[in-house]
Amino acid sequence: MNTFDEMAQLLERGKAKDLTALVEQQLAAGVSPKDILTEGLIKGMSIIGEKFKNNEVFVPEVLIAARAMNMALKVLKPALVNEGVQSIGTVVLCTVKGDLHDIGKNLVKIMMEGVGFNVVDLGVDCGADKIIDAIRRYNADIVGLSSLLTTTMVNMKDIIESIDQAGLRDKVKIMIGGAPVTQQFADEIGADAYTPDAATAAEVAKAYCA
Amino acid sequence: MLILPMLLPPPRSPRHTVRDFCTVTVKQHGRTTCYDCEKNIDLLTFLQRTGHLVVAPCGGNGKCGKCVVNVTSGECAVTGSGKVRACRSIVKEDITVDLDEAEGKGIEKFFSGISTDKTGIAVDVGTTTIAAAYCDGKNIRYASCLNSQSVFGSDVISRIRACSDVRNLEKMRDAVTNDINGLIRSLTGCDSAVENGVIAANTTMLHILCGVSPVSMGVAPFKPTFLDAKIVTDSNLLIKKATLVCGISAYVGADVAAGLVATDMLGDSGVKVLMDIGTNGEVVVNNNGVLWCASTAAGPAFEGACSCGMGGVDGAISRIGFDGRLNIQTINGTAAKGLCGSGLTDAIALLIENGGIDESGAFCNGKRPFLEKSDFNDRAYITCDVYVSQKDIRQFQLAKSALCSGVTVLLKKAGASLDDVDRLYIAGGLGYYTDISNASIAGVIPRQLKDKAIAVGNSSLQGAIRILDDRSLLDVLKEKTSKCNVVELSDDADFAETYIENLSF
Repeated sequence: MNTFDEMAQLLERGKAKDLTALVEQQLAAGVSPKDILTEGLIKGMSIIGEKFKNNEVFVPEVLIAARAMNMALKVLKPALVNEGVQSIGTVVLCTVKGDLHDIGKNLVKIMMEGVGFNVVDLGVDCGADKIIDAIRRYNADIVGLSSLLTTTMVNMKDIIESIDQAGLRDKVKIMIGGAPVTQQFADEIGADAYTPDAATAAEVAKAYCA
Repeated sequence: MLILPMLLPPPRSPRHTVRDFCTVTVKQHGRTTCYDCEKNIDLLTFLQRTGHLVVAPCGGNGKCGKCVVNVTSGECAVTGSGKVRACRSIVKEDITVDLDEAEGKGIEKFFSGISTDKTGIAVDVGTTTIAAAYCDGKNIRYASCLNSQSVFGSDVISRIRACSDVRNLEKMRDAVTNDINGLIRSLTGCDSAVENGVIAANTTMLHILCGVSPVSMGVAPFKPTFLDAKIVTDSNLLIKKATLVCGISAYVGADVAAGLVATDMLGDSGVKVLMDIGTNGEVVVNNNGVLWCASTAAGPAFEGACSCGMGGVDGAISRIGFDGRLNIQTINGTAAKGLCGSGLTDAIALLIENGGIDESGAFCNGKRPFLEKSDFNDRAYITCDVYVSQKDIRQFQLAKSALCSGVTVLLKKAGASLDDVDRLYIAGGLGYYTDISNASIAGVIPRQLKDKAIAVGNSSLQGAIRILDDRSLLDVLKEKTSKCNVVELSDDADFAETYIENLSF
């Protein structure tokens, strides 16, 4: 097994300490931080994402892997900055107004970060003004909207209209998700994409910024 | 019957035989009815409009796949013919739809041992099932039916959403009034109104019953319009003076409050917990006289929303035992058609016990002892065609963790630990059939509470009967519940953490 595969595997199993140690060791040995990120860490998160999509692993395993990823990133980040490596894009993410459920949204955040995005998490019960403000402030490429309730998913439509009125609709891709959301609903309200799970969301977002 | 007469469209008129309409022939209960149907409407909306009960748990969002109907002649756009999802089928030409295969007969068992010398009717309006008890001074007789509002979606949120159109509010009000009247007629054997009645239901159901819009409860901060007990004199209802039990919050309603009366949850000593398990799970903790409550979104996993899921009706597998081979019990002993909540709980407990799934909930390859068939790696078969899929297990994990974490976190907020608990009451449909030991293995209830748990069935209806028997209980209830601490779990950090921990087995 090569070292990158070993990293991916440690990440997948959530071995935060071992993973961090290996990343440190590789950096010291002069391996490119960008390669460590893409060939090792992001590859590991992709494997987790794929397994999650197929129901082979579940939320806790994803969270454990994400924790390992975050610890490894702490070590890696200074080196990435030195080398001038940037995130692949910026995502503004929130649970829409009237809704307080955020476990699904948090998974999307983890997966998006896992493929290399800078994610701005606006939290729950979030209205159009806050989102528009964040798109401008962080120069966002993608907006992710989440909702668990059929009573609040209608607010996604208002948010998209407000983004349009603010003249930002062409600047961002809008992705929606959550238990009651469907592709049909996405089409109806003019969202760019609906994804059924967090891993697919990250893949689609990545494709937008490729 | 399940037909809603007030929703029936006017009889077919010949002038509609032109292009924009086609004929939909519906077969249900052995009867055949022809309707003119405007083209390009989805079949679910059409069937709902014409008063045919097609259960649509996701409210016609194309998510759950439960609104399957049999199109026996003609074809619908996109879906074609045969067994199709009504909500995804667009009517384009003359078709015939057979609904008889799709439905079951609702049954419910009741608690015995309650008696009263009063006369009157007690009603529990559940989101899925409505149950009534008629007290004639000596005996109590029970009846139940499915809530006809289910055509607007199976969970309260779908119903609230439908109420954003005020016409739907009226339709749902009529539907539930008719359901209650139907139960009263069948129990009293006559068409005249009963003098006295007590109605317990969740807050949304009570709003709809009173014609009050529940829309404000659909979005944060989830505010109800009323919670107080009140007396309703609605000439459409076959109860002259109906007392509505007081509720506690938007999502811990009068049904749970009535449940407190039915159990000894209103006392001043000891630590007691009531769990009411349905699509929403409600939890109440009484720590030495101080009440705490919360609701937790269990989702429809316990109400038959798995691959082979079905409600607690004839043919649902309700218990599964294993002693080297499988022993299956179905409701009313008819041929196994699918799994209800307790059957699913048993199946998962057996898989855990026999190494079929690991701690994380993933299937272990080649270790599914009770399989009769293993064509698919991500399924465990219970009969030739009833199985549990990996995805079903994931849904179950979400549901069981919501319930179990709700109890754990609420106890903590109330200043008590699991070890302090003297008694855990499990109410709701799941409570009738579920094996408590399996519920604890599968993680529906905290393992530490296994020996303290007792299933009480429909505690809401029992409470309504108690209140019918002794009105003063309503004052006691009001006094206690007005001081109840309502905890919102959906944005609670402690709950989020516990929830993640409890997802594993």
